[in-house]
Amino acid sequence: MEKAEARPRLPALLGGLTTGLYVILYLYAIDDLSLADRADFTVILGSVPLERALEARGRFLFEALGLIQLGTVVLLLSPLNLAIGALLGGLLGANVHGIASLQSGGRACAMPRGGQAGALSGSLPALLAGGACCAPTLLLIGVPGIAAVAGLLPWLLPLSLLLLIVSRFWLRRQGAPPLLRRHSPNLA
Amino acid sequence: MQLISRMALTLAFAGSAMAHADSLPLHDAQLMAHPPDKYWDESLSGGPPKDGIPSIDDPDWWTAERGNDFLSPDDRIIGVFLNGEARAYPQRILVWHEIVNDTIGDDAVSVTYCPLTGTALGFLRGANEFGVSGRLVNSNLIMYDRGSDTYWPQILAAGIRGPHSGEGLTQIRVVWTTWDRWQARHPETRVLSDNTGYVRNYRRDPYGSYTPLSGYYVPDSFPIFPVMHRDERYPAKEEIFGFRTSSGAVAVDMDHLSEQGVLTHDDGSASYLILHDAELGTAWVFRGMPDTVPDSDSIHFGPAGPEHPALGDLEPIHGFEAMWFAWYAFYPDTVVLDGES
Repeated sequence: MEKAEARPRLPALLGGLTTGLYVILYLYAIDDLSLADRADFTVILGSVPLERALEARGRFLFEALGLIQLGTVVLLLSPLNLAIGALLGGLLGANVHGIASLQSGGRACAMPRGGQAGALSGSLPALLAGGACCAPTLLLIGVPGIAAVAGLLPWLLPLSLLLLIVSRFWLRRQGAPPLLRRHSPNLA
Repeated sequence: MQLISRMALTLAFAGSAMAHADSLPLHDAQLMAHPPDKYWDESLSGGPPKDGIPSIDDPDWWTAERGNDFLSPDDRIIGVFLNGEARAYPQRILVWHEIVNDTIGDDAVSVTYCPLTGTALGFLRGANEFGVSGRLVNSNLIMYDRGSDTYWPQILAAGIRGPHSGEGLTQIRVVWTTWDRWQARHPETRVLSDNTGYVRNYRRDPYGSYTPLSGYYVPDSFPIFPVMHRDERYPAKEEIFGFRTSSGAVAVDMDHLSEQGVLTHDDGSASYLILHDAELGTAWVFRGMPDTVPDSDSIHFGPAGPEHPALGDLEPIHGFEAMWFAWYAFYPDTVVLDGES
């Protein structure tokens, strides 16, 4: 525990980095972050009504209000998609924070790969739920045999959410520190 | 003849409008290998919900000159020439929307495109609008009409579920070609702009590329959804030109047509004349046979298609390009005009 308290910033740093990386991956998986075939520098805002942000283009996927293109990188600005990505990324980051805290505190043997497995299994489904235009990404990249269940793939996102929450609670029970602590003289 | 057909259509439309509040110009379905219910039973969700792929209902237009900033010469477009107006619908926009509810002159039309089957078809829509249902059959877009909520697979152009099940839509000719070819034929064409009412990365095709061919569009790549019938005479996504009538379906090998210039076909109940349009890279089909089949060099192609005195009394039949697997999945009894079969 002394070790964990001596290096409190490492788990937080790892958790934060994981959150950021996951948001990028998630936006790429749902096609809100993509590449263009021609470089340009463009910002499009205000061309569609604000209420469009609430329109679903898929289950748990929402319309964008704007677009930023920097070179060949294009980011669609969908407030709800960003919020969902941030929620998932935040939960994954919290899991990584918990795992890193336990490991740096010498408690790794108390969670025999369970924490890593929980975080990984929770993070993947949402990335696979993303869809392109009229077919889920998994189908477009040629994963065979799942066309018949294409309509069920979007439900992988709430599955991700559930697994990440359960996994974080499990880590907490293993002794991982809470994300938010009351003021402690040791950390002051 | 065309005028008479058009008048008959208008009268039928008027009668239909009295019977149906949604006033879709309908007629008997052209050709279905199975009862309508069978297609519905074989359909499945493609992923997005109804209207999750949003149709363009208030299209905005560029001049051809402005279109050149957006399109490369070899970019695919879907062209329509109707009522004296030429319009180009970029594939790179329609891949994200699949349906444009448009009005050209006095005709309300829907221009539709299914990326998974490589098919572009146009329909008269009356006072109605079409939307994307989110369901697919044989990988083909199933549209729905917002008036009666009938479901229409694009290639079949026939209702398979809902009040108009078993009835057929009225097609208009659309042309699947490239921007430079269309612009050469129609210098005054207008181009659908990217001001669609939605925000998308129109500089990316999520399925692959037509220039050069890659991803889903590569001819020998596999279709991703189940189909009702399979045949391996051609690579799955090889492009053929197909047309169908109440008596049968015909797939034209475009290489064969290109070599011959003109083809004829007799299905026992009618004769058909098929002309190659080398400038647009497409085909034009007519029912009936002139006394003398015109030589391909003697046919002039104007804005509305082929012009030749021998074509005057023939009835145009609307065909369209399609990926082979999709054409065969819907029309397993299709005749193939390849010079060998």
